[in-house]
Amino acid sequence: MATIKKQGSFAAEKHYLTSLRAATGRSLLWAKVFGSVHAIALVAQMGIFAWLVHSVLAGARIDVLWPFIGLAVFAIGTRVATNALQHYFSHNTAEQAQNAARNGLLRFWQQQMGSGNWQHLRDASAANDIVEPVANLAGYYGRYLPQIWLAAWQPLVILIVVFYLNWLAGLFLLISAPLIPIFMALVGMGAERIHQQHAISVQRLASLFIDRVRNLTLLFLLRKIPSAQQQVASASDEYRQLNMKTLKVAFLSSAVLEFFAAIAIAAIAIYIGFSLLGYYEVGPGSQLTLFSGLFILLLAPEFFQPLRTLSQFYHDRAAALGAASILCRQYEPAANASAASVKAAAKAVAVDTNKLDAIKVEQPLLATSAFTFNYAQRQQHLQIPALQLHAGETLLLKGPSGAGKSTVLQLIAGLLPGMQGNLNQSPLAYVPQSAWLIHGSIRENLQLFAIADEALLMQILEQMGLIPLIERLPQGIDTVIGENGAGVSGGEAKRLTLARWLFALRSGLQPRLILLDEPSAALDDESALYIVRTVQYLQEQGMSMVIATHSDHFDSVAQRTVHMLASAEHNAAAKEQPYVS
Amino acid sequence: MFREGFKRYRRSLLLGFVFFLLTVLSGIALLALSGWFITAAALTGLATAAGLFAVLDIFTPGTGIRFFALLRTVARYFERVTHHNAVLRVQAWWRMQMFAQLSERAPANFARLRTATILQRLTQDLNTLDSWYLRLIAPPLAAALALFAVLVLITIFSVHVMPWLVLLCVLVFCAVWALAVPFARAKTYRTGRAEVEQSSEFRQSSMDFYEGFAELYAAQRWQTHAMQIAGQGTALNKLQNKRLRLASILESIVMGALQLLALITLLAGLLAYQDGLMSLPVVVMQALAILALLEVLGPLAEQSTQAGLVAEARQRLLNMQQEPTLPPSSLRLSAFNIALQNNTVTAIIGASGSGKSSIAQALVGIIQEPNWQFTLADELQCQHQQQWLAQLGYVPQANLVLAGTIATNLQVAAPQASEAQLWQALEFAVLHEEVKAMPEQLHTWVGTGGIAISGGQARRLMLARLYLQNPQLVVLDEPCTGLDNNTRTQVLQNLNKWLVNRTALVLGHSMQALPEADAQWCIKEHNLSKLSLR
Repeated sequence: MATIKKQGSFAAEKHYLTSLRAATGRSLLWAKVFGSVHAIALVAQMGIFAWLVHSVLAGARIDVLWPFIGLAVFAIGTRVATNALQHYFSHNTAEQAQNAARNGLLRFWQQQMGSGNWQHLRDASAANDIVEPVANLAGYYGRYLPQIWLAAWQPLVILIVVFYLNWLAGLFLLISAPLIPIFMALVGMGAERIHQQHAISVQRLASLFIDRVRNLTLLFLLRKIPSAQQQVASASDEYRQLNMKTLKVAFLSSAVLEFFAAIAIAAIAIYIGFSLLGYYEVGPGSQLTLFSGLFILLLAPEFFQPLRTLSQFYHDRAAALGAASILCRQYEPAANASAASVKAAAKAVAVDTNKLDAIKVEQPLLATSAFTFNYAQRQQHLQIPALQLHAGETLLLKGPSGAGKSTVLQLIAGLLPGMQGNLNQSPLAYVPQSAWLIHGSIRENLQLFAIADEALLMQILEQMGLIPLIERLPQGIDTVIGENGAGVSGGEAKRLTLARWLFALRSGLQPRLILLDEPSAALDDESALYIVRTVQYLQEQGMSMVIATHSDHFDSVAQRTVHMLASAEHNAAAKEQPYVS
Repeated sequence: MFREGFKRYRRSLLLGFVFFLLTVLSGIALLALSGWFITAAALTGLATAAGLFAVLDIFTPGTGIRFFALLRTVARYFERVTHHNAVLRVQAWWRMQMFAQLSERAPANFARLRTATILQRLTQDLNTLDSWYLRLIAPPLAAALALFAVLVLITIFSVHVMPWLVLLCVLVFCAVWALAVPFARAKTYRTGRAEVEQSSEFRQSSMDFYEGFAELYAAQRWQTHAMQIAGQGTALNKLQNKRLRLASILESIVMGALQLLALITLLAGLLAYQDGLMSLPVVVMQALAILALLEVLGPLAEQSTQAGLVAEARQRLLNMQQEPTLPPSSLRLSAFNIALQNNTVTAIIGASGSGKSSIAQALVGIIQEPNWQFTLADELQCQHQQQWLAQLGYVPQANLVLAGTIATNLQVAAPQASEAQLWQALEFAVLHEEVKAMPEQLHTWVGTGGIAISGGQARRLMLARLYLQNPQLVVLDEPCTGLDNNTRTQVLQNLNKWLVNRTALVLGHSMQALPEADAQWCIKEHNLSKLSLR
């Protein structure tokens, strides 16, 4: 969760929430409609109850009251049905809003990827945006929005009925009605404060707890585990005390609302009672019957009930605003994100517009001119050399770390903007330096790009020397490997990512180009050997490759080598040394 | 363990429950008494109007109404305060216990707790457990007691006149409670568990997806995976909605049943009144008492559907407490015996993946490898783990930074250290200038929730911590990772001076990245062999 806004109008957040509301279609409307019908059925039911008592008191026989009894049953049936339907549509609204929020975020990500803004998406915590904040929207659409309508509708219906029955009681409710928004604001502020306070302290406590768990090794080494336990305990207690302080304020303000409602109901009950006793000779009290009296009494609590419910849902709104402040970032003016790309793209054209005239008989797979690439965030300028690659060739990018080898690969893959070429339209195999393994079985990891038969799977595992790994793992190929490839060594992880592509290749997904970033770096000798062999194998298969490396493992297999020099500030030109192996 | 938390604070929980019950009962009493009062008043009014002499004590019920109205408000306030306080206490206790149990694991397992998903899950599951008392224990119990109270009321007034009504009430009350509690739980138990499961899967695949953006995009598989992620999110919502829909249907049925029962009670009462068997105020009172039950029985079904969620969260927390079984190590480094001479620096050179970090961990005692032996000078050998750790300074490969200020991160090694000493340590690690440039200097918050410090800065923070710890035996695993050449040279110079008169084992991928050593070993083809001295 991002930091919580202290103050402010939440204009962007509210705009975002409104825009999502459009995506919920008619569900919200139906929820309101059924909620409104429910309120009417409720009033009708109470009226019939009062009428039954009144009629019997007036001496009517039950047999003549059958139509009313039928109506009462009908009203109850309507309440059951409309209550269920109102919830049905409320849940739908919440579901649709969440779907829309998720799809919006995915579209945003896709658009960012498409315009070469991958580097802007590299904040790992943003992966959570699609989970937590989206889920926090549910209460706002499913509970708060329908209820805010009902909190106006139901009291209004009741007020009209009560006014009709007895204007003094109606007036009493009406007078208390404008006070309600004031108390609501009080409660609302309380709720918002609780929510913020709660969110902040929960986050603090959770992060302290989590941080100490994360750092158990350190605490163990420094013999600080007992004191850390103490710290977790005292922080929890501090959090409780702090929280209770704010909670008490909020509870008190909602208690005031309840007190107010209770006193209003009690006062009305006593007023009706006294009226019926004939204490009031003049005014509307003198005309009160048992029917109207009982009816008003039954309606009085229902007048306040939707407001009380709304105050419980108030935190849904606060939660949704918090979530929206994270999610609406995607709708912020795109200038921030795309400025870097535009700049870089413009630069790319500006530096060298001379097209390479090395036109061979066949169209080269890759032919780009040199340009400067600017990392907006890092204030870094990289000299990107001219590149040329024909189908079936292997191009080696060599140079020390920091020279921009990875950047070149990312430019070719279209992850960064500025590289001309039409490679973006075809699938490329990009294997970054750190192996990407998902939390799943070895099998699932291998089948990420293509699904194929068991025999081929085993054949490729053997080719990559991974059979010992499979034999070592408790459930073999179906063993779930943890986050960041827990359970497999770095070399094995690397071999798995290459095996994934071998597998895809044999199953029909033909990448135009294979991009390998430091395929043999930080590997044990055995793994490095397998990687070199795989590169040779891929070459035999006629694959085109670009390999970024600082090792000498691939010198003998490459047709072309580009040396990149460290520190672009020196403006050292990269030189190309084509040679035939 | 989780039940024990409740037991510990059962007094405050019980107090909260008493207030809760008081709130519910006074709500019922308020409505029932008001109905009685109004009807009685109407009857008296009619009688007076007809010229009959009728007296109604208006003050007792009037006071009663005001009393219950007040009691309900006050009881609700105290219920909320005591319940929240008690639940927060229980939660704090759980957290502490959880931490204690996790920290009692074998140190080799600590590293596995560092993954983001496990940590998120831990937080999430502990939060879900809140519902246990607040939704699954207190409300059903209070609802049952409220039903019982209303039943007693109806029995007192109706059992002589119409015993069948009492029987009907017993039946309906049992049915609605059973529907809202055991039935709702049983029906949603599996969906609830599946929901937690799906939620955690969704979280995990979102993270996997996000991390694979580059590869997926290049392979033109991004869209397919995005659709899978969207599908998983929708599936999660579907599970939630399935649970909530059933809850709202059950809620509607319960409400309908109670309203029908109120209607029947009213009609039966009215018949009895016409036959002169019951008084009209009592008839109205009984019906209203049943209607008042809706407030406590309404939310019950939805609360009960949390059972599956709570059970799954609890199960997962219990699973987490168990010692995980580590997969067999992939190391194939053969047996060795390495002697660490007193007051000398021994270096081990090996490529990454060759097992050098494991050698460090074995020496420190985080992992056990019986085939690897270390010979130490007598004064460094200790039987007791705490003594052993007290003289040991270990800088592991991973940077361990606590969420806290730079000062906290240093003082964790030397709680008594003065500010001057902290600066001295930072100078040793060549970090002082960067810290001076930070606006809050030593009090800059780093780690979770703080400013992002670079890998190189974190590395040097570890070295500054080591300096403050001032150990006799030092183990450095790749001490210079992430440092640029200039800084590395300075850091190594400082380390060289500092390591004089200490016993050290330093490990790295090349000698350039390590302080000067008196003895050098090398890992080649799964063997540790000694290189001749310079």
